[in-house]
Amino acid sequence: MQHTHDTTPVQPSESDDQITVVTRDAGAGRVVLEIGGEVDMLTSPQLRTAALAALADDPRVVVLALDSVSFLGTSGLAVLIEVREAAQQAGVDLRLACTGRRVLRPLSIAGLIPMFDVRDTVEDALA
Amino acid sequence: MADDAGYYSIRFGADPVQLAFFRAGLDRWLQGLSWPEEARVDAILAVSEACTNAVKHAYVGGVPGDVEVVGRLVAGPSSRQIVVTVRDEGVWRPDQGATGYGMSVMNGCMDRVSIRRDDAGTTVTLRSVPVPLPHSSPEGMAAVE
Repeated sequence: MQHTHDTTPVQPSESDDQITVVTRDAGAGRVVLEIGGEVDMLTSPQLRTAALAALADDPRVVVLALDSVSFLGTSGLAVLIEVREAAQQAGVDLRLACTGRRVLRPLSIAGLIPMFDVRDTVEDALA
Repeated sequence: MADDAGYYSIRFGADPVQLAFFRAGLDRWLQGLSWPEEARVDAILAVSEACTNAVKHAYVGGVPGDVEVVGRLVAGPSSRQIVVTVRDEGVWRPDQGATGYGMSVMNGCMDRVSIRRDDAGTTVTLRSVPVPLPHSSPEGMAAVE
């Protein structure tokens, strides 16, 4: 996975108030949500809606692929925690797939890494 | 020595839509200073969190005001830091934070964070961890307009 954000300045555009969410059925009750963009106070409700909708379909595994997330603020952290609790209640195995510092750093600082099943790749998360 | 590259200032309306634009501007300033990637990610996380708090809490139920951010480069003989102040004119209450992660992120990403409240509003001052001087001379850091 070669999603590097190191050298790409964040360019404001008309899409800045949106994140991208692509939902993919990986078969055998596994769903992958590819999230892209800046997850902040404005956009975190989109992540919440998409993730909770995926859980509602009664899957076995939900993978949040976060390597295209270029910013994750505490609003996003709060959503991830809410989604984790919802997944536990629904008996769904929630996994995060990411290696980028822009996602792992806020998770780590907030002490949340141990709360999540974090994998390097989507393939690994689906295994 | 006054050079524009060592100073950053922006004032924007307390609207969540502004946050992404604000982060982009802060990122450009730090890239212009050749700020190391890891310290840059941390600084943006922390300062964005301070601005998010201001947007979220400062003007609740009142007239939306502005958030004013001023960043200064402080260069020493062997390292440099940025000192960023985030100022609002509302009533900012950290205890309203839904998660409490905001302070953790600010403190974890920066060398020092202080919050001062007075009748006129709230000022959060964030001092970054020291980073190495750039390879070029200090004068060389000044971006040519």
